[in-house]
Amino acid sequence: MIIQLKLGTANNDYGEGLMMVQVSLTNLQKGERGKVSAIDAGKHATKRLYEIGFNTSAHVTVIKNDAGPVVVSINGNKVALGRGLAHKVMLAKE
Amino acid sequence: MKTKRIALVGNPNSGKTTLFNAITGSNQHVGNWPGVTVEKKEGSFTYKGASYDVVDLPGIYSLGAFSEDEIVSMEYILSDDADVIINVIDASNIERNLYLTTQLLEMGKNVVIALNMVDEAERRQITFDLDAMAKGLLCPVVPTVASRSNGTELIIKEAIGAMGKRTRRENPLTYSENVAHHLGHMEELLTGKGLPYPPRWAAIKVIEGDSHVIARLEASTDDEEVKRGIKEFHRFHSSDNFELEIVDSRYAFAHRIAEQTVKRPQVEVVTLTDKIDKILINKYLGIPIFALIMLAVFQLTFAIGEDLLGGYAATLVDGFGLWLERLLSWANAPQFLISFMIDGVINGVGAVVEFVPLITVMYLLLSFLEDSGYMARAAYVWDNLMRRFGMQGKAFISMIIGFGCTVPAIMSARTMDNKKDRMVTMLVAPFMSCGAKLPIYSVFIAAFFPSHGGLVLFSLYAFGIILGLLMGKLFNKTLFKGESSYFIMELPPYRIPSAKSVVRNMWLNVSDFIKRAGTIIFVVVTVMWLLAVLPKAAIPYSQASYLGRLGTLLIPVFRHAGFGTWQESVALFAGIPAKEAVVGTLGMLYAGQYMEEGAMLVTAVQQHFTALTALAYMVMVLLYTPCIATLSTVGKETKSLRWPMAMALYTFVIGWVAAVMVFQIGSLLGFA
Ligand SMILES: Nc1nc2c(ncn2[C@@H]2O[C@H](COP(=O)(O)OP(=O)(O)O)[C@@H](O)[C@H]2O)c(=O)[nH]1
Ligand SMILES: [Mg+2]
Repeated sequence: MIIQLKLGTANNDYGEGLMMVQVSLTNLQKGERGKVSAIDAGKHATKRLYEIGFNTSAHVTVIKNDAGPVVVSINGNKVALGRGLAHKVMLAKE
Repeated sequence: MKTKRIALVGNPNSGKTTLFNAITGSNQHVGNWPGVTVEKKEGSFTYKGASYDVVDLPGIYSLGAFSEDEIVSMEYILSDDADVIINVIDASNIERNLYLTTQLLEMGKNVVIALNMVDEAERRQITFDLDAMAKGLLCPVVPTVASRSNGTELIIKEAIGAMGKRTRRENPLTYSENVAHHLGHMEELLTGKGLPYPPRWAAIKVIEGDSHVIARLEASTDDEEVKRGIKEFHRFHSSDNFELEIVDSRYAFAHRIAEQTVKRPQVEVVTLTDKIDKILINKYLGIPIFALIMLAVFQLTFAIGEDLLGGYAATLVDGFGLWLERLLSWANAPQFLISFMIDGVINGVGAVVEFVPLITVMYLLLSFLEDSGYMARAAYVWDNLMRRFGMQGKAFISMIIGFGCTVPAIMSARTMDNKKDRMVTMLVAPFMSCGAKLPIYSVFIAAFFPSHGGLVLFSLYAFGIILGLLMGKLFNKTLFKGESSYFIMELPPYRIPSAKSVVRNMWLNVSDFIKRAGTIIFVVVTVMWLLAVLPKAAIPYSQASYLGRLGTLLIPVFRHAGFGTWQESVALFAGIPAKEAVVGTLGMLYAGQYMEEGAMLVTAVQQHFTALTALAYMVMVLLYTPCIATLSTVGKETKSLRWPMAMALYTFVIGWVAAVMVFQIGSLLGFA
């Protein structure tokens, strides 16, 4: 699932590429990087994700994405997210 | 004067308990996975003649809590009970750890920072500017390696020094313009209302939408203006995401500090952890490797604990028994005392003590696994499969803990913030075979399957897991419907377990086992012995004794499972207070019955059972009603009487059905 969005607006810092391509975390392959842009996973899970570093524009690198939860590296820390949850984390692909 | 208190606060797995043990000389459970500590623990130390209390808390990622263990920490921090907080930070993971720090600073807490695991950071070539960090965070920063007690002296000194300066420090964060604007208004509204928290901080929490704190605020005041103000703010701003804006400002602060004070290598060092994980959490290999690891644990347990060391323990207990018997007859002790000491204590309690080497080895191996970092991986590889049975990967950690003891397994379910997940995890925990059942299996294995100990044990444990999964599914379909909660699991780096913490964790369990042998097992065996030798008219240990009559009543219950004698039923009954008592009671009864010198428990078991009934008996022991300690823990955790009673009953039924099936199907297939 790939969604094309409008141009980055002035008050965010997605402006590196002109076009921001949002993908879900489950769509990133091993080794690919992205910047967190939106999370809509319900109150609890969203908050938990914020707390462990998935805040706006945090860099995420996918370490493993085949079967089972997705493993990412965030701030040099390894975290596994269940697939259902990972699907709700949207990133701007880098 | 009240003793001054130091609280240890930090993210899960940052080394708080390790530091706690180092400072206070306590022996609390440490492990390399998030969620080891689930309750508040207290200790103390003396420094320069004065005594100080230390409080170890469950790990938290932020001051917004969901699960029981997190609420304990959060409530404690809010209670303002501690004179100073030592915030333990994992140095190789600084941003996320600082996120919590910023919240402590927001609260104006008196904080001293222990920058822990600097050894690991060094290995990853990460360096720190400590002075700049202390300046940026407005509090002392002390580098520590808690696992080697490095820096503990200094952190104590700083913490004590900070106690004197109990000033509200200013909040170093800057919020977005939007948030700052609302903060101003909210703070004004909350000031001078006699609320339990500082108005500025309360205002942040209201705007952030922290339901826990808001509920607290509303409960603590009768001021209509405050209640209305909070309600209206949220109604009016329901579409704004102030929470995220505040989170972002905190992270911005944490990132800024990290940028100014932490130097990382240009190219990230590929760690050994990454290489190991390529194999251990591989899509195809993950679960087979888990099975192999468990098989290895059981094979080693038997090879070392039974074959190599078991004989020595048995010789020791027997030797002591002979010596005691001689001593008693030399002293002309009355016959009933000799009978009690030899049949009851030596053959009953002694039969349990003989297994100390066996369980020592198993607990050593389990502690090693726990401290290596593998637990989080086990949760990872099992998450998918667990989901099919209405549970999630995290529950699998509780299940492995249950291999040691069911009580902590049930308590570990506190880390689940979804009620349904938590209940199901607790309800299936008794099917994970615990260390106290090991002596029972061990006797039957020695009697009938001496060369396949590890394999039989592995199969029993595997059967327990499978049954746990099936029951999980059943509960999920009936009592606790709905999806399992999200899975978020940190995968901490693998560590070579330190001998100190492995031995400590082992000793926590083994000393408990020995203590139980001397207390509850002793009491149970004594009561059983009394019932077996009374009334006076009956031949001791015969079917005419009180115990014999009771057992005879139970025979029909177990006939279909192939347990034909009263001793077998009575022993199961004795196992309800504590499982080791099954072996203790059998040992006492058979020894009394055969009278002759050195009647070995194993030989007696061979006379009373067949391989098939032994198997059915082991299955019954694996599954039937858990011990009193487990049931009372379930009662405490669920705050009800109904759940422990339901558990006692349903596990008994499951155990009985399984044992009957093993015996009946085995008989049909021609085994005996
Ligand atoms: N390398 C290293 N490991 C540590 C240090 N402190 C603690 N550990 C390990 O980190 C893991 C987590 O420790 P624990 O005290 O249980 O963390 P808690 O969850 O914060 O209480 C354990 O495996 C410890 O042995 C340290 O300073 N250096
Ligand atoms: Mg701990």
